[in-house]
Amino acid sequence: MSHILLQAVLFLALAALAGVAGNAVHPGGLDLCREYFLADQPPGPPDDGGGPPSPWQMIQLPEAQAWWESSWRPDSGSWDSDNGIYFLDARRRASFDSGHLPGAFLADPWDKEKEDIFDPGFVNELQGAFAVIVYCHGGECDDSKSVAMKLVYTHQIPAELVYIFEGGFEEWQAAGLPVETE
Amino acid sequence: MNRLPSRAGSLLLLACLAGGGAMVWFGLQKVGDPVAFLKAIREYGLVPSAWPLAMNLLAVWIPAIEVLGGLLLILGVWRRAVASTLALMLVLFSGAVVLRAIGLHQDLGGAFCDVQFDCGCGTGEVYICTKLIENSIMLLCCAYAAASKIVRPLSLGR
Repeated sequence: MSHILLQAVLFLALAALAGVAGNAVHPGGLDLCREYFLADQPPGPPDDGGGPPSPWQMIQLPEAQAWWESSWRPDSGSWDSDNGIYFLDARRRASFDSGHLPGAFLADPWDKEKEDIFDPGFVNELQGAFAVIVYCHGGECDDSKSVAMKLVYTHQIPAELVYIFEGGFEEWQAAGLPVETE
Repeated sequence: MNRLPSRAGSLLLLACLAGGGAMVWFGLQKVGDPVAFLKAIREYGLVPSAWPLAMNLLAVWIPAIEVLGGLLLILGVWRRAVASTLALMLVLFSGAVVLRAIGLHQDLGGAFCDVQFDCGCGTGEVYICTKLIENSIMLLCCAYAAASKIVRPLSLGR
């Protein structure tokens, strides 16, 4: 009996080693020390020392489409820099590469290669934005909320500038709106 | 002199191959998409999200237990210890899946077997009763492999 118990303990220890080693070489593996679900335990707003976070706003397809159309210049394939509107795609890189809103920036919260998903220069740009619209797949996907949490609480982007496009890429694509691939 | 394996030996071999094969397959589905499995673990609420390291480690450990355990069971190495561990895991996971299905059933109503959700098992959305039948078959295989004291045919170890 005792040797069975010993073998079971050894087996579990070997599995732990194999799991950690496999994760280290897995291209889509996890950063084991990262807190991925920031949205589960929002830090309170810094000014009042606690309480619920300032809510970002949820927007639907017509609003997302209107903002995108007002800022995206299809002929030059670039944003109208005067409008200060940014679309962030919070899906995985593979999904982003296979199709995203034209002009959207990749903000994959699961990218283990990046300590922070935003470069400091890009954060500076976002701080002067008129609106930052974050989307993921749509439906029950909550990666856009993780990115919104990072924007507001890690990078101090004012919450009133941050919007979540609830229908996400699936709704955008289903509506037959333009899609860009890498 | 070579002898054909006994009926009990053949049954044991079958249990190890079926249970081990299923474990490897389900484990590989989870290994393929660690993010999806981490999200599934979070849905169960078994680990407080205040412990991100524990949750992340669990997300890489459980699939490794399934893949490694399945392989050892197929090879017949540490068979009784590995099968006991996998059987215990199956009991715990099935309990968690049932609890979650009961919660969804209370919210949605309808027949219990119509409850369909992504249990984090690596195969996307499943009907609860189908999942429980699958788990019961795997549990039977593992429990038999754990309880049998005979030497398994085609085994690399004990």
